[in-house]
This record gives sequence, C-alpha cells and structure tokens, in this order.
Amino acid sequence: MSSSGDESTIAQIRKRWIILFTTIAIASMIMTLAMLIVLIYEGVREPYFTINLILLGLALFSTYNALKYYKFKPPKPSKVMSLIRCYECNYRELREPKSGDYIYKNVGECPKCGSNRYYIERIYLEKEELKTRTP
Amino acid sequence: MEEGISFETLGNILLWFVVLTLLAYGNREIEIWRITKDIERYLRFFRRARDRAVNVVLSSVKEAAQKYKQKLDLRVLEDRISQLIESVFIQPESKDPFKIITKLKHLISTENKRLSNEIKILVPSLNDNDVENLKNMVSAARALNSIYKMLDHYYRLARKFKSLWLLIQLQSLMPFMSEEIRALEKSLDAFKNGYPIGDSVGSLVASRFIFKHTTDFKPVEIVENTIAVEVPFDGRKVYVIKAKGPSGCTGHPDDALRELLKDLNGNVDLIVTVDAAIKLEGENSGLVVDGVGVAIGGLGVEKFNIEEVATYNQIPLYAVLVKMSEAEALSVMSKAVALAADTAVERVERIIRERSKEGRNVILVGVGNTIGVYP
Ligand SMILES: [Zn+2]
Repeated sequence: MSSSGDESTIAQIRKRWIILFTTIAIASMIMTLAMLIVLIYEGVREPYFTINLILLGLALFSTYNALKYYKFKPPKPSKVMSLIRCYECNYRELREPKSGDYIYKNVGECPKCGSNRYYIERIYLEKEELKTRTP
Repeated sequence: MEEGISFETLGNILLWFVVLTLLAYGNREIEIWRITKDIERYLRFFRRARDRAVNVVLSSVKEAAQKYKQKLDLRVLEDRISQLIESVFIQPESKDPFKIITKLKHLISTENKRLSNEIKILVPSLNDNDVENLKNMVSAARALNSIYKMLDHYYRLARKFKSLWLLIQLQSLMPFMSEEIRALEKSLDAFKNGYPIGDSVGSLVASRFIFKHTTDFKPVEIVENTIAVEVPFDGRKVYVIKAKGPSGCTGHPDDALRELLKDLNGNVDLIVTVDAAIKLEGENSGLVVDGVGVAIGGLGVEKFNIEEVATYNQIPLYAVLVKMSEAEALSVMSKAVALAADTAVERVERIIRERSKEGRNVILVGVGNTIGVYP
C-alpha cells in the first residue's frame, strides 16, 4: 500500500524535528544560565543583557516547538477488514480480506452450522474518518 | 528668523521616503516569494502523486501479465501507458445544445470501449474483471495527471507575468486540490485490490436488498455490464438494477431502466435510486437522506435519460443518498459508510412499503461503481 510509506516518512520527519529543537533548546538554556551567572557577577551590562534575553527567547521557542512535535502523533496506518456472516445462523467472523475477495462472495461452509449461505458481508477501512492533511 | 526648511530636514524627509518605498516594495516581493514557495510545495506533492499513480498502473499491468504468463515489452508498455494517460476527452459542442446528451453518451461509450481495447491490446489474456479494474486505475492516473498539469500551467503563467493576484488565487485553490489528489491516490489502492470504495454504496444497497429478501436468484444481464434481479418483497415485485459486479464498472442504469420499463409496459409504481453523495463539512459520514429526484452523479447523461423515461411513463422518482466526503467516496469503503448501507436498505424498504401498493411492480436502481460488490 502506498499510504504506509507515506506514514513512515511522516514519523521520520517528526523524529528529525524533535531532535533538532531539543538540541537547540538545551544549548540555549545552558548558554542563558552561563550568561546569567556572568551578569550576576559583573552587574547588569549591555550588550550581555540583551543577548541573554534573546537566548531566553530562543530557549522558550524551541522548547515549545519540540513539545509540539512530540505531542503530534502520526496517524495510525488504516487496516482493511472483512466481516463474514452466515445467513442461516448469524455466525460472524472478522478477518483481513484475501486477494480476490468481494462483498457477497461465498466463502464455503459456515463453521458452526454447515450452511453454504456463508458470505462476506462487509469490506471496510477500519479508520473512521479521513481527515484533511496538507503536505 | 531662519528660512522654512533646512537642507538637513529635507534630507531626512527624503531618506524616510526612500526607506518607506523600499519597505513597501520589499514587503510585496517577500509576499510573492512566500506564496510561490507554498504553491511549489503543493505542486511537488501533486507531481509525486502523479508519478506514483503511473508506477502503480505500470506495475499492475505487469503483475496481470505475469499472472497469465505473458511476456511484455517494457519499452512499448511504458510508451503505451503514458500515451493513454495523456489522452484527452473532448466534450461535445454546446453552442447548439440540441441532442447534446445523445452526443455525450456516444462519446462516453466510445471512450469506454477504447480504454478496454487499449488494455486488451497490452495484455490480451486478461479477464473482464481485471480489465475494468485497470481501466479505473488508468482513469485515476489520467485525472491526477491533468490536474497537475493544469495547476502547473497556471503557476508558470503567474510566475511569467509576476501576477500576485493569479498567485493568490492559485494558492487559495491548493488545499481543495490537495483533497482531491489524495482521494484519487487512495482510489488506486482500492482498485488494485478490488475492494469496494465509498461510491460502491449504491450497488451495495442493491445487493444487500437482494440477499436480504431472496435465497436464490438469477441475475439477467439486461444491457451490457448491467444486471436486473427480480426480488419478492412484501407482496410486491421489486426489480433491482445494478452494474455487474464485482468488477469496477458503473454499467448503464438508464438503458437498463428503459429496457425493463419496455418489458413491464411501463407498469411500475415507483422508481427508487440509491447513490453516494458528497457531504457538507458539517454533516457526518454515513448520513442517509431521502428525497425526490434521481440520485446519480457523473456527466448527467444517465440522470437526463432516467428523468426522461420516468416522466414519459409518469412514474414517481424517489432518491436515497448516503453522504460521505470526497476522499471517502474514492477510497476503500469506510466503516461509517459500510454501516450506513444497512440504514439505507431500511429506508428503501420503508419507501416501497409506504408509497406503492401490494401486488405492484417497483424498480430499485443501485447507482455507482460496483467494484468489490457482487452480483
Ligand atoms: Zn451458520
């Protein structure tokens, strides 16, 4: 299926962004702290104060982004299922469809009552709704 | 007293003027750049989708040929497939609309036969089922190709003339196109495996009605690729028309209806058509609604013909619609839609019970592609 390839690339991109933003966040936090120590010992002096503010902003921004990508869960790959039902005794079986399956294909005898009115009643995608996704 | 404005002030004013002009101009350039990048991103995605689709068609033809142990010349195959995907369908002239539906029908049937022929030339030993599925895949690839090319054309024009307005229009169109492209791409998966799609729900309702009310039945192929089944229901005779499954064809419900009405001498209480319909954003997938008229999509040929024959015979037309999104209509049938088929069958039963008399004839037409749905 082409969609499964799609989903693994999404997961890869997500991982890459998380790593990038976490690295930036940690680095800028360390630098902010170092600058803070310098400021405490040397007194508030420009341009160190402004640089420190910018670093703090960068730290907050990348933490926010890392969290955003971490929270985003890539969509689970959808699965096609088929429901087989006996039209005599109402016995049901759920399984993944085989190649060449179609709705109202007679799949032999009912394992419960032996009737040959044992048909595939549904073939459907297990995912409820398809949401819009921009590339 | 000094004179009004010194050189310094004048210089400052001039400087400000230059800076503001540059800012305004720069802003516009940045905007154009941003929109261009956005459109390019979408276009790259569309092109990849098109290429994937062509590859899926190619690999499916190869697989089919392998199944029948047939040797293929790959160069010829690739050439033929790309010609098929680039081929055009020219709509009939509408300046004089008289008889345009007849002309359109003629063109559509020519197109249909040509596609079948083309595929059978490539792999002669293919069975009808595989031919229909491949035809659907080629159609999807063709649609993807034409959408991509059209958008790319307008993008190039906009770039050429640096037209911000054209770019903005194009950009605002992209999300809708993206939705359509995704739907078409998903349809390839379904057609490749022969699974039912959302659009098959009309055919599914017809089949379910047949299997619910009769144990043995003989489908009659009343016109090419379209079957009619006689089903007893509550003292009435219900004639169910649908495309012949489980291959991916849509059949000719209008011709079948005309033939059937000829056989029954127009002696029919009502006609019910069932089809999939595109939902509004606020509606849920699988919503079943009914009403008056003909539920059928496409280019309007079948709709026109069914309305005409029903009006001629003075038979009431009722419709049952199953709502779904555009993406759902083309991808493997979603669970919501599959469940809605049962609701739709009940709705059809109610309509027949309430609006026709016992001992009379009723026609039920299951509209839409019948891929993955027998009979
Ligand atoms: Zn049973």
